[in-house]
Amino acid sequence: MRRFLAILSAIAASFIPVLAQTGIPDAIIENYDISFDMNSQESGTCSITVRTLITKSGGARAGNFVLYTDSFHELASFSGEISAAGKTIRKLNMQDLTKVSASSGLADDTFLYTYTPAVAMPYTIEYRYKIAYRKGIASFPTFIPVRRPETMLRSGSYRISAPAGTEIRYSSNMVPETVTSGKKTTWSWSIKDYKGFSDEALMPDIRELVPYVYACPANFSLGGKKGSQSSWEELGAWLYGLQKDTKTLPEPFRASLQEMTAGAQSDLEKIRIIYGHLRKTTRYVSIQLGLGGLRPSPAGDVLKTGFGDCKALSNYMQAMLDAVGIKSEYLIVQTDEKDLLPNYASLGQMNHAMLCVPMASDSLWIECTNPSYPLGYRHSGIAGHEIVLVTPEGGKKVRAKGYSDSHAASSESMTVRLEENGSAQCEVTRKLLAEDIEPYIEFESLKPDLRRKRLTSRYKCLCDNAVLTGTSDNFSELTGGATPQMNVSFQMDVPGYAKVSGDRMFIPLSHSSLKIFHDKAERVNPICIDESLSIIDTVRIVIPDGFEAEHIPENVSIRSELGAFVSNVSSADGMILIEQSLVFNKGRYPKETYQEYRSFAKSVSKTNDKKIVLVRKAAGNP
Amino acid sequence: MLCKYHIYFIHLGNMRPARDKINFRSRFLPYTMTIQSNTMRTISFLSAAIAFLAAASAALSAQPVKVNMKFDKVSRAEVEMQEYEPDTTAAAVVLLDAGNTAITFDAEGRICLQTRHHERIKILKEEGVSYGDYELVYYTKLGLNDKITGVKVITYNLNGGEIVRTRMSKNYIFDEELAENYRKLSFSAQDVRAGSVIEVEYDITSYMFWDFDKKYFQRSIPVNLFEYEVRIPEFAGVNKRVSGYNRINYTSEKVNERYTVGSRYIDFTTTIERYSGHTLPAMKKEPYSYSFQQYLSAVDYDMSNLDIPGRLPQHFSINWEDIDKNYYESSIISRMNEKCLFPEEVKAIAGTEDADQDKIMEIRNLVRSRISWDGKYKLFPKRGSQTYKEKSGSNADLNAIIASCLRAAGYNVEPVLIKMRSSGVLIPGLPELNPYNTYILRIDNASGKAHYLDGGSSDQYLNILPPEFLVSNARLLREPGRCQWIDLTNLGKNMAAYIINAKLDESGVMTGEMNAKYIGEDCRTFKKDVRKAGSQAEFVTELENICAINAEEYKFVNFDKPSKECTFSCKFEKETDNAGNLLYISPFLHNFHSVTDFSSPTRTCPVEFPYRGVLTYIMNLELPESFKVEQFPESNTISLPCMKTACKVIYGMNGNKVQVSFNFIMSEMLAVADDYQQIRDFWQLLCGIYDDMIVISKNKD
Repeated sequence: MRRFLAILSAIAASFIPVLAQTGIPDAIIENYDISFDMNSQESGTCSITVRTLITKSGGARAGNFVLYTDSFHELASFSGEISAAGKTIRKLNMQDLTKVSASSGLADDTFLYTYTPAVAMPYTIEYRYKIAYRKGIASFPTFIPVRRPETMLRSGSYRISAPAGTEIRYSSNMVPETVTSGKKTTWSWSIKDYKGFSDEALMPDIRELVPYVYACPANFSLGGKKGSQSSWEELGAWLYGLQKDTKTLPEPFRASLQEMTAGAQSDLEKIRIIYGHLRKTTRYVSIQLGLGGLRPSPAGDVLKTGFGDCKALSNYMQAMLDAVGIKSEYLIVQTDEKDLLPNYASLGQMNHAMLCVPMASDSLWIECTNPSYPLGYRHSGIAGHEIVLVTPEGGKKVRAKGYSDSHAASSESMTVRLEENGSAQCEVTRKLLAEDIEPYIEFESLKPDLRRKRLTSRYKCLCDNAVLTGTSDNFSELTGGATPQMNVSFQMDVPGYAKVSGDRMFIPLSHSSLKIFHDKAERVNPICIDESLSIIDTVRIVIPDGFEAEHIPENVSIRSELGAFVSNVSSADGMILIEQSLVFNKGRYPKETYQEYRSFAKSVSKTNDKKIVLVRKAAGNP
Repeated sequence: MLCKYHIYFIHLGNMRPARDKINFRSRFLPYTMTIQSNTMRTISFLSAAIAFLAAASAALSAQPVKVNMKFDKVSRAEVEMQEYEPDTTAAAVVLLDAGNTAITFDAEGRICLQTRHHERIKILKEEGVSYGDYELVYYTKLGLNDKITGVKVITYNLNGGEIVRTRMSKNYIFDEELAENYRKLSFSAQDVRAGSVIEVEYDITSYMFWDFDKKYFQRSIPVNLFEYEVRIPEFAGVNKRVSGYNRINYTSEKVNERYTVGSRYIDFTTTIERYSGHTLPAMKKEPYSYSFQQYLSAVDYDMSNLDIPGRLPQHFSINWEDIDKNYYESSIISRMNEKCLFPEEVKAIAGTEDADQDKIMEIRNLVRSRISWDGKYKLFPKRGSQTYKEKSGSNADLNAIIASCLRAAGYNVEPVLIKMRSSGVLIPGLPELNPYNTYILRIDNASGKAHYLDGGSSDQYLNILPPEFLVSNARLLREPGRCQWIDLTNLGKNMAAYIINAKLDESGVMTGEMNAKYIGEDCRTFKKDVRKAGSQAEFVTELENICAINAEEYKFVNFDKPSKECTFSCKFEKETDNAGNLLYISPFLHNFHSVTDFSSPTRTCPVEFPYRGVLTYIMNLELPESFKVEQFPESNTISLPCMKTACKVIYGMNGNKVQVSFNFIMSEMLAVADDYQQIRDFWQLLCGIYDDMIVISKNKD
């Protein structure tokens, strides 16, 4: 839900462009050709030629050169040419590239090469470069010729040439041609006249819209270690092999762990004790050098240094649990995508490691890089995601339990004691579910400024003296698979809650800063709502003595397949009650539905702009 | 959380961002620099300095946490402490920051700066553990390589009531290439957790001896105690600047020293300048602040001259005149004096009857049509021919070419050097060796009126500069002795003016026309906002969303070309709040300010606004015959004296037309932190005006 809310809010900031009214693309890739020659499992050369015509400023980024290298990939050669109106303006060579370290942590052998043309449009830019693959090939180059919206592709080709008998695996929305000639087998994909895509909010997965090929050798070698990517089972076995001899802990330390957990009544209690120890004694530091980017640091090293990355910390936690007799499984996951590419196992799809402990009723998921998370909390990077368990028997692909749509609701209840001058003291209770709890974990330990922002950034009015008055949660139940819940109560003063003018007081129907933005232009893509969203707000306003309601906005109820918005306002017994709920239903809707979405968004904005009007009672009236 | 796996898998829409900008040290070379090599032994100043610092600690007994200044002398109290009393919210605190810098000689007799860093940090909470990670960026150009040596890191923890010391293994020091001429030394203290004390020491030798690294005493976490010593031999002249709002103790003394060369020696006096203090609060970045670092307590030195006995004297810069001379003799002037690259076209423009402003802009546009701006602001331009060959350049490159063309057209053009606002304030009373980041052009026409222009950026015009350039003290560069300080904060009128003419119908729907005119900096800001939205259509969509209107027939004038003003207009429709016989109408289609701009209850740094300006908003709303105004909001005037800012709103009727007039004037760009509460209160009143409602009765009877 937070991701969806972020999309709604981000639209205001980003204003993702829609298909230009004139239909002229921002950039035209005249040709995008990749040719990969695999010499052996250890080495190969990738040759890339890209020629792009940049027509408008929106296409400028399509002309940029961006390349990451590391100890397995080296930029072997580079040249380029910028031309306009048929004339060469400038030739480029390696010296024109900016090279900087792209370190993700303490040490990393990743470098970033970039070049950004700054030439009057329209112009054409061509890049020709080679990347040397060495010390092993785990993945072939990724072929995604179009990555920016409003970009057309005239011709694209991808060719992989490998020694005959090499088995490759690929995931693509194109079908290759395979030819074996002499000692080489060649796979070729090609595409012509791809018109491009329009980037809109709530659009389908990008892989539905652009041509792509992900490919890798079925049998590979990396850093001298051979393995197979024919299946997750085999890849998992290779990863398991990498971890061999990394799980040893000194005997005295193992004994201390056993002593620490001697009084535990259950395995769960033992895990809790060890998790607490992990939290107290380790921190996250990333070292990604060579094969160290894939193999966890030995548990003994983490014990000595007190730091490690996700792999090292998960491996260390596993070793500690093993010392107290608890079996666990190391897992790898892609935190940004719930689904892996179907029928395609590859190292490159994963970006994180965690631990899983099979329990009687369910699995316990342990995030080792952030032990402040309650034990058993399935954060957004894993809830509902396909993951691969790395076991002695090989890799096992399973799906971590997610949260159902019914768990997507957050709600807020506010009592407003309004003063005659328009200021108010507010008491708020916020009920948070699933990943919405994250900003509030160990809330009291946050700095005052951050606490204030977390409590009040939702409102468009000035909020002073925000003070937490209570929290409650069900974190102790998360190990049983429960959905996380948290209630946060706080008080705050709002100096300008209502605007006083003469005998009247104008109260905004909603102080929320949430706006549902919509586009004027004709919709191109279907509407895809990945997660259901439900926000429920209840506000009780105590009418100040001497005032009565002059105008209460009409109730609104809009329901459609996409969602629903309901706003009910009533006044009785000196109080105004506002009950609002906004629901978006997960689903995929045809582009024609966008008109409905637009009306929906406009109604929400219009309703929330309305005011409740109080007026001073006539003299003599009770 | 990222691991290495994903590097092989280019995830669509998940390209990692380029590295953040790195603060590199300045690279301005002095114009005289000769060093003779002799066989000399290095003065062992470091041990002398440390011995002194240890002895001096007695003078600083007021710090909340008592510390021993010596390395590896951490007390039990420091390890046991659980919070820092002056700031109980702090995740970590610098218990001790003890450093020293000396101008000295290395083993080969080369003059250098040697700096010892020694700090001790207490981790109070889990979120503070990252203070155990260090990244030191250093320079690596041949002959001027920095050297980092003697890295020592110890972590102290309480374990079973005993203090356990963990020394960091040298295996966890990583030295990597960072960018051209720069490397990075990274290391992480071991066994760091909430409660740990981390002690770090390392030495840096720098051969850019004329350019000290600025020493910040204040940081993003509180500082319990600091002591910093600078040793300046008598043969080195230095300038210094102390900044910040906290009390810094300063002492100075002279000591005699001897420098031995084989059988020969040099006796000289060294001045030791010491800075110390305690209980410095944490500083954090705040909104409406261009460079919060300038407000941190710090000291900055640069060398003015070096006169080592037996060697040729070297002179750097001692005052603004000397600094001016250096810049005057740099490539800025010579590039501006190069031959005009487009003589025929410039001649044709110069020969027209157009006004000077138009000719100047035409020449500027001519250059920009041939050469693009690469998005960078720089100080020293390349040769014009090289820029033209590459068809793109920095603003410095473009300014040089535009200047040469303007001179060919008969205009007097001079450079104006600027220290951008994000780099801090330039104080004329405190000369700096390398103060400037960029320059713009000053063009005098025949009548002597001065115009200012920057060749970079898309939306510039004469006297309309990026807000980063709007400084009180820019330097007009002329022959030495004739340079002047120029105030760029008041070059012209900045104004945003809105006129809304609308009609209300019987059902309460308001239809009308919005006309907006933007002048000066507001014109530039408006064009930037439209480009940020992606297109004119998307900007209008944003307007519809924010104002809850339907907008049609929109028109942008002067948008696509540089101009000093531009306009926007559209027809709109908006529903009002209908309550039986009453209508509630907000006279403001748009809130121009947000009350949450100053949501923080406190402020440490001064408040900086981009530019001065005026905003006017007029609404004429025609009512149906049978309607009458039941209630107007109160007309009001509010003011903010500390910023010479005021706002006036007037409501009234003219026949059957409601008239609203709103005027906002801001005459200053800067306010001190002490005035923050006033600004906050004013802002609340100002935003309250946007909540005004007009009550209209549908039935006159």
